[in-house]
Amino acid sequence: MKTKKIQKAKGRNEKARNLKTKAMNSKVKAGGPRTTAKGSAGGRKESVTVFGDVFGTINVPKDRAVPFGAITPAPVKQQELFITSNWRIVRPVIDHEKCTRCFTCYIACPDSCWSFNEKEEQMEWNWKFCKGCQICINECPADALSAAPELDFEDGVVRLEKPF
Amino acid sequence: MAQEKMLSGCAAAAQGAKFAEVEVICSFPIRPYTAIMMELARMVANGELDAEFVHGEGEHAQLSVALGASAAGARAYTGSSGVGVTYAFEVYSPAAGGRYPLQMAIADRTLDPPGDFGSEHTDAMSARDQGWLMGWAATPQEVFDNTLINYRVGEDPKVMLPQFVCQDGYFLSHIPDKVILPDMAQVREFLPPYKAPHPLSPVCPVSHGPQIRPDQGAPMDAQRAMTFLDLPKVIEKATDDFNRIFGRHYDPFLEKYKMEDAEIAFFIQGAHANTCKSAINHLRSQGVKAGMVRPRWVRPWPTQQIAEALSHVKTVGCVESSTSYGGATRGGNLIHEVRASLYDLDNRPQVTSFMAGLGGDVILLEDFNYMAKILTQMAKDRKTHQLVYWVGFEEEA
Repeated sequence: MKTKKIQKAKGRNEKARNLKTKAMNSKVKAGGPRTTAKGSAGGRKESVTVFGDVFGTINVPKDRAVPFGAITPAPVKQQELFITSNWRIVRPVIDHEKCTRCFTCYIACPDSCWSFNEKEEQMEWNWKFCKGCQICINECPADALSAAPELDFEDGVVRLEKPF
Repeated sequence: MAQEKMLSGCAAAAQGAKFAEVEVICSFPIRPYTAIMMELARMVANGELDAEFVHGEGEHAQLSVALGASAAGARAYTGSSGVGVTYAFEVYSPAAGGRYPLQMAIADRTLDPPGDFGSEHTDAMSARDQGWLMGWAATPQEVFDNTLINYRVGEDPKVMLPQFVCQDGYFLSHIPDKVILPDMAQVREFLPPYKAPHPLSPVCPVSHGPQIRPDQGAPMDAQRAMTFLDLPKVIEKATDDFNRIFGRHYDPFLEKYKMEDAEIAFFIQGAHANTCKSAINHLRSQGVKAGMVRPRWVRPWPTQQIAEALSHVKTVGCVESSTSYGGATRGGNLIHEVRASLYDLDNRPQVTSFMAGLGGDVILLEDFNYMAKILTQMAKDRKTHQLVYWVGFEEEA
């Protein structure tokens, strides 16, 4: 089920990347006028290299272009354009039986990766931004959280062939 | 009406900021640049300038405040000197990467130790590769003008980059000279109001400075580099417009002095160029065909213009007012790029460098005579005997 979720999110991520954000024009030719400098004064006759596009050209493929200054539309809930959890080694696993819904994890998480799912009436973990720092596991007063290696999961980030 | 005033470099920078109608100013004291902020604080207190004046808790905070103000869509102004410039270092790259066209005035001061207060370009030169525009002025008038030109170039929608507007501490920052203050109407014609493309605003919320992934780092670098390819054109246009509106005669990239028939050339940056010019007059009266090239911009480096200007001379002496310990020549910074600019010439001149004007030292007429002697000898021998000469710490060649 989690794999499905990841694929779905991946698709969304692609979409977000292809969004027509106000990225910079991805093809620009090097500037600078072509100049021919000819030495005459100073006693020495010489031919001088003709300068053209000495700085070359830089082409950033459209699918790799980053929005201008990395400035992006503010997300309603989370930034889908820059998912950052691929360096996680372990992830917190919750035991909903033990969980008292005290929200300590919600308060403690530096990346706001715990939220309350009102429909299911239980805490929900956000795999997209959790770095596996384990602060929530340390802070949980009910011992409801434990660390599990990413390798143990079929969708573990360590198994990804490409980063998001 | 335009009027003439006697202003120091610092007062000229403050006037420049006032005429640019900066909206947020962030200060923290360190001499010699402090005089700029003193002047601006006075203007704000007197009601001459309608700006938010924030006193930072240090240079890092200063730059952060300016960055935030710029992100919110304000024209932001800050500045520093010496170790203040290096203390703020972390914020330089984000300011350029986030494309915030704030302006930072730098009046040079030596770095610590030894805690000497003199002028030396090492403080600002250390930050030259952070993606900012950078250039030195040689007179208070040029400080004033550069303040306006830099805002115009930096805020160009194609550019959107922060700017270091540098001047030598004391030699320039504290010595008054005649400055023409223009009409506000002229400034408004030259410098349109700053319009941030994506300002922080509750009406249209955006995220600034998010974490990006490793595979997004390279394209961001490439996109920033692309801006620098476009920059020369923007600078040329801005300088042309400036000359037309204000009646000045700046070359966009280089100030050339008696280069038409020069055989030896000094390559020098900042206010020492003024001494250099009188030294050249003196040398010419003795029959030495000397000339001078002074870059108005260090970033972007005017590669082609320098190659063109120096292509016909026999020898070039880079007068370094900054250090690059252990660098290719064991001396300063300028020679690296001057040599790189000249390398592709079919018949390139000999290039050496002179360490002078360090720690606030004045470069004297006799120092220039000494350098000219070495350059003339090099031209005669057609050989670069040494890559660097420590002026005053060498036996006469």
